[in-house]
Amino acid sequence: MRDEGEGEQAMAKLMVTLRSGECREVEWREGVSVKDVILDAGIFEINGITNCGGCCSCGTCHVIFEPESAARLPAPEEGELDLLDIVPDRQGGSRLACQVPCSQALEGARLRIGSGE
Amino acid sequence: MDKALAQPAAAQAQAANDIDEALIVDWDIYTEPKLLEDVHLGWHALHDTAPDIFWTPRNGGHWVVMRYEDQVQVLKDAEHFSSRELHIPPMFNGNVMIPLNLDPPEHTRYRAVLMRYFGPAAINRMEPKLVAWAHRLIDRVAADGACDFTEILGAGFPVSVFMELMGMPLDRFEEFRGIVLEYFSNITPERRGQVQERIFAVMRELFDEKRRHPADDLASALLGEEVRGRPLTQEELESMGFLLFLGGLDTVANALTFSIRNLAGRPDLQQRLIAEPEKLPDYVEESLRRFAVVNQTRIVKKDTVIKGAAFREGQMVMCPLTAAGLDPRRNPQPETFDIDRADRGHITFSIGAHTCIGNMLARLEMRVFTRVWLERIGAFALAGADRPAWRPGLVMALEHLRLQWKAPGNAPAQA
Repeated sequence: MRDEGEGEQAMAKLMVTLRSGECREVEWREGVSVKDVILDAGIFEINGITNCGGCCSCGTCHVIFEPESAARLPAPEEGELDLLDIVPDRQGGSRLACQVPCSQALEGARLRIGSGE
Repeated sequence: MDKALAQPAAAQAQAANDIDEALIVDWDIYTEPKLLEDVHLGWHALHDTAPDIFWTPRNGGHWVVMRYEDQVQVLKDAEHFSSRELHIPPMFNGNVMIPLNLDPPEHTRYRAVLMRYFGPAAINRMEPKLVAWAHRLIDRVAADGACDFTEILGAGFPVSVFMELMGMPLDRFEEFRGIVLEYFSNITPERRGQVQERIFAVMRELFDEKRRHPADDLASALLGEEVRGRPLTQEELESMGFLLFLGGLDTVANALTFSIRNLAGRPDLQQRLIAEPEKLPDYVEESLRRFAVVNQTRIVKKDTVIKGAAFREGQMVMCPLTAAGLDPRRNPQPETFDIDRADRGHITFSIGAHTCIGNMLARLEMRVFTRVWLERIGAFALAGADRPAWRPGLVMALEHLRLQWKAPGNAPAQA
């Protein structure tokens, strides 16, 4: 077990709120997408049955970052913006998890899984 | 104009020379006898006899990727494998189908436009219409105790649903169905080009009609749609219409017919699905895995090597999606139809940027039709000796499926 506040030794965690309201800690891994680390943590609701495999083409992996977390992320590219346009519950911190690579910027980031509509 | 089209023989010889001998297998996706005998097991046989990735000199020469893992890699990699040309043999006729022929990022904005109409909420709202269509079509045959399922029901159901969704005139069902059947049969690239023009003309007519008389349908809705803040152009509308025409009129029909043929030989499964309708989604997924329909194609955009196969720019690549579902490395005992399969993997709707946009509608159609069919018809079986007339190619089909049951079947259950 790791203590928080161990500095560089600590594995930074994402705080992911599921659709049920349950909150889970998810470890992130450099270079892997947020969607993949969420899936690897056994949270399957991020992956709709219709999923495109992380290729920014289905919108299933819609997540909403809290504003403070969202601000630290690299900006979305045009394809992601095109798809976010059609997500019904889109709001300020909305991103497609398959397009957000894990990095230091995600340390302690808080997000919730979108409605999946 | 691509040079390969002007000198096909030379291009083939060139391509063949560049290819490792050990990777060459003579396999014609349209005429191979093993496919005529069974389109799915015919492809699957190559898992034992061919390299994971092989080259066939037929139909202009193309690669074939046989493994689930490698197909996923290819289909997710739009940087090396482009959708710019999708036909085998390639057509190189300059027609760009939007969004079918586009790679990301250009592709994504059009995808987004169509996703509005094919997402889970929009599709689930269609369920009552689907149930009504299923009953309406089954009404036509129930009292006969027998039918040739393929056209009346296998195609009749999804095509009627689609034509109504789009706002196409239902009295032209036979005509439109005929066009799409020809498109996917073994015709020359030149003839296919003519059929393409026919489809564009149908779409042009349809959009013109909706401009005059807007209705509550997808064609009318697309007229009002915007991409990147401006209306869709006529070219974009006709292209999207073309894609929807092909996607809507001969894919689910085949998935449904394949699945019903299998079910006809499984009275145990019929009983089980009647007793446990909650297993219908699993049944649909297992049908999709075991009896896939579409064989995805790409053109190499940028040289790359996978498992020793040197893909060169301009070469065509085929990913037979049925071979992914039947890959034993992904699904142990893949020939076995098992609705309780624990870790089922298939890419029957493809994967990557061009994952089938109609997949939610297709799944709902298969669930609804199977449920209503079993409710109305009860136990059913194949009629006569089963000598299936398979159609191999880019979109695989079964040309006839004769069934029988105890007439007159059951009246619709009270809602």
